[in-house]
Amino acid sequence: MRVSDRTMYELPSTILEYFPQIIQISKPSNFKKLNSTLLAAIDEICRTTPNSKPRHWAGNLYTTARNRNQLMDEPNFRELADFITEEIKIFASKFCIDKSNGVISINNMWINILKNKDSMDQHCHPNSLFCGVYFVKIPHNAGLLAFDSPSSEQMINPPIKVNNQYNMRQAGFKMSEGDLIIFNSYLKHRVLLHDVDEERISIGFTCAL
Amino acid sequence: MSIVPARDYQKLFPVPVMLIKVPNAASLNEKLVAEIQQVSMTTPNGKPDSWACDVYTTLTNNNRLHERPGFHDFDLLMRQGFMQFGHAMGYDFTIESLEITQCWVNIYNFGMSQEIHHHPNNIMTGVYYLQAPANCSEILFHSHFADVMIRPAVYEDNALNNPIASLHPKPGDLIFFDSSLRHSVPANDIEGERISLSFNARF
Repeated sequence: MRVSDRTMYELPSTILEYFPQIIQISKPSNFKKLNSTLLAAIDEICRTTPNSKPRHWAGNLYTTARNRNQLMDEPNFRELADFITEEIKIFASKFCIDKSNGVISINNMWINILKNKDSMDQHCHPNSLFCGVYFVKIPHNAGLLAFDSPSSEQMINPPIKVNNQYNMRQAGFKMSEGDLIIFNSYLKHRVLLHDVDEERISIGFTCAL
Repeated sequence: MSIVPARDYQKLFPVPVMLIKVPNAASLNEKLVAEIQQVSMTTPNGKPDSWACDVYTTLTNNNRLHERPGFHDFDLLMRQGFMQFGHAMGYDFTIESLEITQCWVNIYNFGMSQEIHHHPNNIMTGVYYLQAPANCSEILFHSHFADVMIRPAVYEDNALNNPIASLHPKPGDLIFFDSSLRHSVPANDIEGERISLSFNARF
Protein backbone atom coordinates (compact mmCIF):
# COMPACT_ATOMS: atom_id res chain seq x y z
CA MET A 1 0.00 0.00 0.00
CA ARG A 2 1.50 3.31 -1.04
CA VAL A 3 0.08 6.71 -0.21
CA SER A 4 1.51 9.00 -2.82
CA ASP A 5 -1.66 10.00 -4.53
CA ARG A 6 -5.00 10.78 -2.96
CA THR A 7 -6.79 8.99 -5.73
CA MET A 8 -4.88 5.72 -5.37
CA TYR A 9 -7.38 4.50 -2.83
CA GLU A 10 -10.11 6.26 -0.98
CA LEU A 11 -11.32 5.28 2.45
CA PRO A 12 -15.10 5.41 2.91
CA SER A 13 -15.76 8.64 4.75
CA THR A 14 -18.56 10.85 6.00
CA ILE A 15 -18.30 14.52 6.90
CA LEU A 16 -20.24 15.44 10.02
CA GLU A 17 -21.01 19.15 10.22
CA TYR A 18 -21.22 20.73 13.65
CA PHE A 19 -22.09 24.15 15.05
CA PRO A 20 -23.41 25.94 11.94
CA GLN A 21 -24.44 29.57 12.16
CA ILE A 22 -27.71 30.51 10.48
CA ILE A 23 -28.81 33.77 8.98
CA GLN A 24 -32.54 34.30 8.55
CA ILE A 25 -33.63 36.36 5.56
CA SER A 26 -37.16 37.65 5.01
CA LYS A 27 -38.86 40.57 3.37
CA PRO A 28 -42.06 42.56 4.05
CA SER A 29 -44.45 42.19 1.11
CA ASN A 30 -45.02 45.96 1.03
CA PHE A 31 -41.38 46.89 1.46
CA LYS A 32 -41.42 49.58 -1.25
CA LYS A 33 -44.14 51.55 0.49
CA LEU A 34 -42.59 50.90 3.88
CA ASN A 35 -39.19 52.08 2.69
CA SER A 36 -40.66 55.25 1.30
CA THR A 37 -42.08 56.09 4.73
CA LEU A 38 -38.82 55.13 6.41
CA LEU A 39 -36.68 57.23 4.07
CA ALA A 40 -38.73 60.35 4.83
CA ALA A 41 -38.41 59.73 8.56
CA ILE A 42 -34.70 59.01 8.29
CA ASP A 43 -34.14 62.18 6.34
CA GLU A 44 -35.77 64.17 9.13
CA ILE A 45 -33.73 62.43 11.82
CA CYS A 46 -30.45 63.06 9.99
CA ARG A 47 -31.19 66.75 9.97
CA THR A 48 -31.68 66.94 13.70
CA THR A 49 -29.46 64.19 15.11
CA PRO A 50 -25.67 64.52 15.00
CA ASN A 51 -23.49 61.58 14.05
CA SER A 52 -22.83 59.44 17.14
CA LYS A 53 -20.01 57.38 15.67
CA PRO A 54 -17.35 56.99 18.36
CA ARG A 55 -13.84 58.01 17.40
CA HIS A 56 -12.48 54.49 17.99
CA TRP A 57 -14.50 53.05 15.11
CA ALA A 58 -12.08 52.87 12.19
CA GLY A 59 -14.55 53.21 9.35
CA ASN A 60 -16.54 56.32 8.61
CA LEU A 61 -20.33 56.35 8.53
CA TYR A 62 -23.32 58.17 9.94
CA THR A 63 -25.00 56.31 12.81
CA THR A 64 -27.51 57.00 15.53
CA ALA A 65 -26.41 53.90 17.46
CA ARG A 66 -25.30 55.97 20.45
CA ASN A 67 -27.73 58.87 20.52
CA ARG A 68 -31.02 57.80 18.96
CA ASN A 69 -31.31 54.06 19.31
CA GLN A 70 -34.90 53.57 20.43
CA LEU A 71 -36.48 53.94 17.01
CA MET A 72 -38.81 51.02 17.71
CA ASP A 73 -40.76 53.43 19.94
CA GLU A 74 -41.09 56.11 17.28
CA PRO A 75 -44.34 56.08 15.23
CA ASN A 76 -42.67 56.08 11.81
CA PHE A 77 -40.71 52.93 12.67
CA ARG A 78 -43.45 50.99 14.46
CA GLU A 79 -44.56 49.02 11.40
CA LEU A 80 -41.00 47.87 10.79
CA ALA A 81 -40.53 47.11 14.48
CA ASP A 82 -43.67 44.95 14.46
CA PHE A 83 -42.39 43.03 11.44
CA ILE A 84 -38.99 42.54 13.07
CA THR A 85 -40.60 41.34 16.30
CA GLU A 86 -42.55 38.64 14.45
CA GLU A 87 -39.45 37.55 12.55
CA ILE A 88 -37.43 37.38 15.76
CA LYS A 89 -40.01 34.97 17.20
CA ILE A 90 -39.55 32.70 14.20
CA PHE A 91 -35.77 32.90 14.40
CA ALA A 92 -35.86 32.17 18.15
CA SER A 93 -38.00 29.09 17.52
CA LYS A 94 -35.10 27.59 15.54
CA PHE A 95 -33.09 27.69 18.78
CA CYS A 96 -35.88 26.12 20.89
CA ILE A 97 -35.64 28.94 23.41
CA ASP A 98 -37.73 28.20 26.46
CA LYS A 99 -40.59 30.59 27.25
CA SER A 100 -39.44 30.70 30.86
CA ASN A 101 -36.70 33.07 29.71
CA GLY A 102 -39.30 35.75 29.09
CA VAL A 103 -40.13 37.60 25.89
CA ILE A 104 -37.45 38.44 23.34
CA SER A 105 -37.88 42.03 22.26
CA ILE A 106 -36.01 44.76 20.44
CA ASN A 107 -33.87 46.75 22.87
CA ASN A 108 -32.01 48.96 20.39
CA MET A 109 -32.82 50.14 16.90
CA TRP A 110 -30.83 52.75 15.01
CA ILE A 111 -29.91 54.16 11.59
CA ASN A 112 -26.68 53.60 9.65
CA ILE A 113 -25.89 55.58 6.52
CA LEU A 114 -22.80 54.94 4.43
CA LYS A 115 -21.63 57.40 1.81
CA ASN A 116 -18.95 56.76 -0.80
CA LYS A 117 -15.80 55.25 0.85
CA ASP A 118 -17.54 54.66 4.16
CA SER A 119 -17.35 51.32 5.94
CA MET A 120 -17.92 49.72 9.32
CA ASP A 121 -15.22 47.72 11.04
CA GLN A 122 -15.67 44.28 12.58
CA HIS A 123 -17.91 44.10 15.62
CA CYS A 124 -20.49 42.06 17.50
CA HIS A 125 -23.31 43.11 19.84
CA PRO A 126 -22.68 42.38 23.53
CA ASN A 127 -25.62 42.31 25.94
CA SER A 128 -28.01 41.06 23.31
CA LEU A 129 -29.09 37.67 22.04
CA PHE A 130 -29.90 38.29 18.39
CA CYS A 131 -29.27 41.21 16.10
CA GLY A 132 -30.12 42.14 12.57
CA VAL A 133 -30.31 44.64 9.78
CA TYR A 134 -33.13 45.94 7.64
CA PHE A 135 -32.00 47.34 4.31
CA VAL A 136 -33.84 50.52 3.31
CA LYS A 137 -31.73 51.75 0.42
CA ILE A 138 -29.18 49.56 -1.31
CA PRO A 139 -27.65 50.86 -4.53
CA HIS A 140 -26.03 48.53 -7.02
CA ASN A 141 -22.61 47.36 -5.73
CA ALA A 142 -23.25 48.74 -2.26
CA GLY A 143 -20.78 47.76 0.50
CA LEU A 144 -21.45 44.15 1.42
CA LEU A 145 -22.35 42.96 4.86
CA ALA A 146 -19.69 40.37 5.67
CA PHE A 147 -19.61 37.77 8.44
CA ASP A 148 -16.33 36.59 9.94
CA SER A 149 -15.74 32.93 10.71
CA PRO A 150 -14.31 32.01 14.12
CA SER A 151 -11.50 30.38 12.16
CA SER A 152 -10.49 33.84 10.94
CA GLU A 153 -8.99 34.40 14.38
CA GLN A 154 -6.83 31.27 14.31
CA MET A 155 -3.12 31.96 14.33
CA ILE A 156 -2.36 29.07 11.99
CA ASN A 157 -3.78 29.75 8.57
CA PRO A 158 -3.05 26.82 6.24
CA PRO A 159 -2.54 27.49 2.53
CA ILE A 160 -5.74 26.94 0.59
CA LYS A 161 -6.00 25.23 -2.78
CA VAL A 162 -9.78 25.26 -3.15
CA ASN A 163 -12.05 27.72 -1.35
CA ASN A 164 -14.99 26.01 0.30
CA GLN A 165 -17.38 26.30 3.23
CA TYR A 166 -14.92 24.61 5.60
CA ASN A 167 -12.04 27.02 5.07
CA MET A 168 -14.10 30.16 4.49
CA ARG A 169 -12.86 32.97 6.73
CA GLN A 170 -15.44 35.52 5.66
CA ALA A 171 -18.86 35.25 4.03
CA GLY A 172 -20.35 38.22 2.19
CA PHE A 173 -24.10 38.70 2.13
CA LYS A 174 -25.53 40.18 -1.04
CA MET A 175 -28.52 42.12 0.18
CA SER A 176 -31.33 43.90 -1.59
CA GLU A 177 -33.80 46.56 -0.54
CA GLY A 178 -36.42 45.26 1.85
CA ASP A 179 -34.29 42.39 3.13
CA LEU A 180 -34.43 41.77 6.84
CA ILE A 181 -31.69 39.56 8.19
CA ILE A 182 -31.32 38.21 11.71
CA PHE A 183 -28.38 36.38 13.27
CA ASN A 184 -26.67 35.61 16.57
CA SER A 185 -25.32 38.73 18.28
CA TYR A 186 -21.96 37.09 18.95
CA LEU A 187 -21.29 36.50 15.25
CA LYS A 188 -18.74 39.08 14.18
CA HIS A 189 -19.60 41.12 11.11
CA ARG A 190 -18.67 44.26 9.25
CA VAL A 191 -19.65 46.38 6.24
CA LEU A 192 -17.08 46.33 3.48
CA LEU A 193 -16.05 49.50 1.72
CA HIS A 194 -19.03 51.23 0.16
CA ASP A 195 -17.48 52.24 -3.14
CA VAL A 196 -20.41 53.85 -4.95
CA ASP A 197 -21.79 57.38 -4.92
CA GLU A 198 -25.34 56.60 -3.84
CA GLU A 199 -26.01 56.26 -0.12
CA ARG A 200 -26.47 52.86 1.55
CA ILE A 201 -29.13 53.17 4.25
CA SER A 202 -29.95 50.47 6.77
CA ILE A 203 -31.53 50.07 10.18
CA GLY A 204 -29.68 47.98 12.73
CA PHE A 205 -31.26 46.42 15.80
CA THR A 206 -30.52 44.16 18.70
CA CYS A 207 -32.89 42.14 20.83
CA ALA A 208 -32.66 40.67 24.28
CA LEU A 209 -34.66 38.70 26.82
CA MET B 1 -48.24 43.17 7.98
CA SER B 2 -48.09 40.21 5.63
CA ILE B 3 -44.76 38.83 4.58
CA VAL B 4 -43.38 37.06 1.60
CA PRO B 5 -44.00 33.35 2.34
CA ALA B 6 -40.48 32.35 1.38
CA ARG B 7 -38.21 32.78 4.33
CA ASP B 8 -34.67 31.83 3.54
CA TYR B 9 -31.86 30.56 5.72
CA GLN B 10 -28.17 30.64 4.99
CA LYS B 11 -25.91 28.26 6.84
CA LEU B 12 -22.43 29.58 7.58
CA PHE B 13 -19.19 28.20 8.95
CA PRO B 14 -20.05 24.57 9.74
CA VAL B 15 -17.26 22.76 11.56
CA PRO B 16 -16.38 19.49 9.82
CA VAL B 17 -15.40 16.22 11.47
CA MET B 18 -14.52 13.42 9.07
CA LEU B 19 -15.54 9.91 10.10
CA ILE B 20 -13.93 6.96 8.36
CA LYS B 21 -15.11 3.42 9.03
CA VAL B 22 -11.89 1.51 8.42
CA PRO B 23 -12.56 -1.62 6.37
CA ASN B 24 -11.40 -4.89 7.96
CA ALA B 25 -10.43 -3.07 11.13
CA ALA B 26 -10.60 -6.15 13.39
CA SER B 27 -7.34 -7.71 12.23
CA LEU B 28 -5.53 -4.34 12.30
CA ASN B 29 -6.83 -3.66 15.79
CA GLU B 30 -5.70 -7.06 17.04
CA LYS B 31 -2.13 -6.34 15.95
CA LEU B 32 -2.18 -2.79 17.30
CA VAL B 33 -3.56 -3.81 20.69
CA ALA B 34 -0.70 -6.31 21.03
CA GLU B 35 1.78 -3.55 20.15
CA ILE B 36 0.17 -1.17 22.61
CA GLN B 37 0.38 -3.74 25.38
CA GLN B 38 4.12 -3.75 24.81
CA VAL B 39 4.21 0.05 24.82
CA SER B 40 2.20 0.36 28.01
CA MET B 41 4.35 -2.20 29.82
CA THR B 42 7.50 -0.23 29.10
CA THR B 43 6.21 3.37 29.13
CA PRO B 44 5.11 5.03 32.36
CA ASN B 45 2.05 7.26 32.30
CA GLY B 46 3.02 10.52 30.60
CA LYS B 47 0.05 12.48 31.89
CA PRO B 48 1.33 15.89 33.04
CA ASP B 49 0.56 16.94 36.61
CA SER B 50 -1.19 20.01 35.23
CA TRP B 51 -4.04 17.91 33.78
CA ALA B 52 -7.05 17.67 36.05
CA CYS B 53 -8.23 14.37 34.53
CA ASP B 54 -6.97 10.83 34.99
CA VAL B 55 -5.96 8.85 31.89
CA TYR B 56 -3.05 6.74 30.73
CA THR B 57 -1.31 8.57 27.90
CA THR B 58 2.02 8.52 26.10
CA LEU B 59 1.52 12.02 24.70
CA THR B 60 4.55 13.46 26.47
CA ASN B 61 6.92 10.50 26.68
CA ASN B 62 6.27 8.16 23.73
CA ASN B 63 4.63 10.11 20.94
CA ARG B 64 6.29 8.72 17.80
CA LEU B 65 4.39 5.44 17.82
CA HIS B 66 3.79 5.61 14.08
CA GLU B 67 7.54 5.08 13.56
CA ARG B 68 7.51 1.68 15.24
CA PRO B 69 7.59 -1.21 12.75
CA GLY B 70 4.42 -2.69 14.23
CA PHE B 71 2.55 0.51 13.33
CA HIS B 72 3.53 0.52 9.65
CA ASP B 73 0.07 -0.28 8.31
CA PHE B 74 -1.50 2.15 10.70
CA ASP B 75 0.93 4.88 9.65
CA LEU B 76 -0.21 4.50 6.03
CA LEU B 77 -3.84 4.51 7.09
CA MET B 78 -3.36 7.65 9.18
CA ARG B 79 -1.59 9.48 6.35
CA GLN B 80 -4.30 8.52 3.89
CA GLY B 81 -6.90 9.85 6.33
CA PHE B 82 -5.02 13.12 6.73
CA MET B 83 -4.86 13.46 2.95
CA GLN B 84 -8.60 12.91 2.61
CA PHE B 85 -9.48 15.30 5.42
CA GLY B 86 -7.03 17.92 4.14
CA HIS B 87 -8.54 17.59 0.67
CA ALA B 88 -12.05 18.09 2.09
CA MET B 89 -10.76 21.18 3.90
CA GLY B 90 -9.43 22.57 0.61
CA TYR B 91 -5.85 22.68 1.92
CA ASP B 92 -2.90 23.01 -0.40
CA PHE B 93 -0.37 20.35 0.58
CA THR B 94 1.08 17.05 -0.57
CA ILE B 95 1.80 13.74 1.08
CA GLU B 96 5.46 14.71 0.99
CA SER B 97 4.87 17.95 2.89
CA LEU B 98 2.63 16.31 5.49
CA GLU B 99 4.43 16.10 8.83
CA ILE B 100 3.09 13.81 11.53
CA THR B 101 4.10 15.66 14.68
CA GLN B 102 2.81 13.21 17.27
CA CYS B 103 1.14 9.83 17.51
CA TRP B 104 0.36 8.50 20.98
CA VAL B 105 -1.95 6.14 22.82
CA ASN B 106 -4.65 6.97 25.37
CA ILE B 107 -6.16 4.27 27.58
CA TYR B 108 -9.27 4.94 29.63
CA ASN B 109 -10.09 2.55 32.44
CA PHE B 110 -13.18 2.88 34.60
CA GLY B 111 -13.78 6.50 35.63
CA MET B 112 -11.01 7.99 33.48
CA SER B 113 -11.58 11.06 31.33
CA GLN B 114 -9.88 13.76 29.27
CA GLU B 115 -10.53 17.43 29.93
CA ILE B 116 -11.23 20.03 27.22
CA HIS B 117 -8.21 20.76 25.09
CA HIS B 118 -7.00 21.46 21.57
CA HIS B 119 -3.69 20.94 19.78
CA PRO B 120 -1.68 24.13 19.20
CA ASN B 121 1.07 24.14 16.56
CA ASN B 122 -0.85 21.67 14.42
CA ILE B 123 -3.36 21.92 11.60
CA MET B 124 -5.15 18.57 11.66
CA THR B 125 -5.84 16.12 14.46
CA GLY B 126 -7.15 12.57 14.39
CA VAL B 127 -8.20 9.72 16.63
CA TYR B 128 -8.41 6.00 15.87
CA TYR B 129 -10.43 3.71 18.11
CA LEU B 130 -8.93 0.27 18.70
CA GLN B 131 -11.13 -0.68 21.61
CA ALA B 132 -14.43 1.03 22.22
CA PRO B 133 -16.67 -1.23 24.31
CA ALA B 134 -20.42 -0.66 24.30
CA ASN B 135 -21.37 2.40 26.37
CA CYS B 136 -17.79 3.62 26.67
CA SER B 137 -17.23 7.37 26.73
CA GLU B 138 -17.99 9.42 23.67
CA ILE B 139 -15.75 12.17 22.35
CA LEU B 140 -17.22 15.64 22.77
CA PHE B 141 -16.54 18.59 20.51
CA HIS B 142 -16.93 22.12 21.81
CA SER B 143 -18.06 24.99 19.60
CA HIS B 144 -15.79 27.97 19.05
CA PHE B 145 -18.74 29.94 20.45
CA ALA B 146 -19.08 27.79 23.58
CA ASP B 147 -17.86 30.62 25.80
CA VAL B 148 -20.53 33.18 24.96
CA MET B 149 -21.97 34.64 28.15
CA ILE B 150 -25.60 34.88 27.07
CA ARG B 151 -27.21 31.47 26.72
CA PRO B 152 -30.96 31.26 27.35
CA ALA B 153 -32.54 28.02 28.56
CA VAL B 154 -33.83 25.81 25.74
CA TYR B 155 -36.59 23.20 25.78
CA GLU B 156 -34.73 20.91 23.40
CA ASP B 157 -31.11 20.66 22.32
CA ASN B 158 -30.41 20.93 18.63
CA ALA B 159 -27.53 21.64 16.27
CA LEU B 160 -28.08 25.40 16.50
CA ASN B 161 -28.28 25.83 20.26
CA ASN B 162 -25.99 23.13 21.66
CA PRO B 163 -22.35 24.20 21.94
CA ILE B 164 -21.34 20.56 22.46
CA ALA B 165 -21.56 17.76 19.89
CA SER B 166 -20.90 14.13 20.75
CA LEU B 167 -19.66 11.23 18.73
CA HIS B 168 -19.92 7.68 20.11
CA PRO B 169 -16.96 5.72 18.77
CA LYS B 170 -16.92 2.17 17.57
CA PRO B 171 -13.83 0.01 17.06
CA GLY B 172 -12.32 0.85 13.70
CA ASP B 173 -13.61 4.43 13.64
CA LEU B 174 -11.05 6.92 12.42
CA ILE B 175 -11.89 10.59 12.85
CA PHE B 176 -10.22 13.81 11.75
CA PHE B 177 -10.83 17.42 12.67
CA ASP B 178 -9.20 20.83 12.81
CA SER B 179 -6.57 21.00 15.57
CA SER B 180 -8.14 24.20 16.92
CA LEU B 181 -11.44 22.43 17.63
CA ARG B 182 -11.64 21.86 21.37
CA HIS B 183 -12.63 18.38 22.47
CA SER B 184 -12.88 16.22 25.57
CA VAL B 185 -13.78 12.74 26.79
CA PRO B 186 -16.20 12.42 29.72
CA ALA B 187 -15.66 9.79 32.41
CA ASN B 188 -15.57 6.23 31.08
CA ASP B 189 -18.29 4.71 33.24
CA ILE B 190 -17.77 1.08 32.26
CA GLU B 191 -15.25 -1.56 33.25
CA GLY B 192 -13.94 -2.23 29.72
CA GLU B 193 -10.85 -0.39 28.50
CA ARG B 194 -11.30 2.29 25.89
CA ILE B 195 -8.12 2.46 23.79
CA SER B 196 -7.45 5.09 21.17
CA LEU B 197 -4.52 6.36 19.15
CA SER B 198 -4.34 10.11 18.66
CA PHE B 199 -2.21 11.98 16.15
CA ASN B 200 -1.47 15.48 14.94
CA ALA B 201 -0.18 16.79 11.64
CA ARG B 202 0.89 20.00 9.95
CA PHE B 203 2.44 20.94 6.66
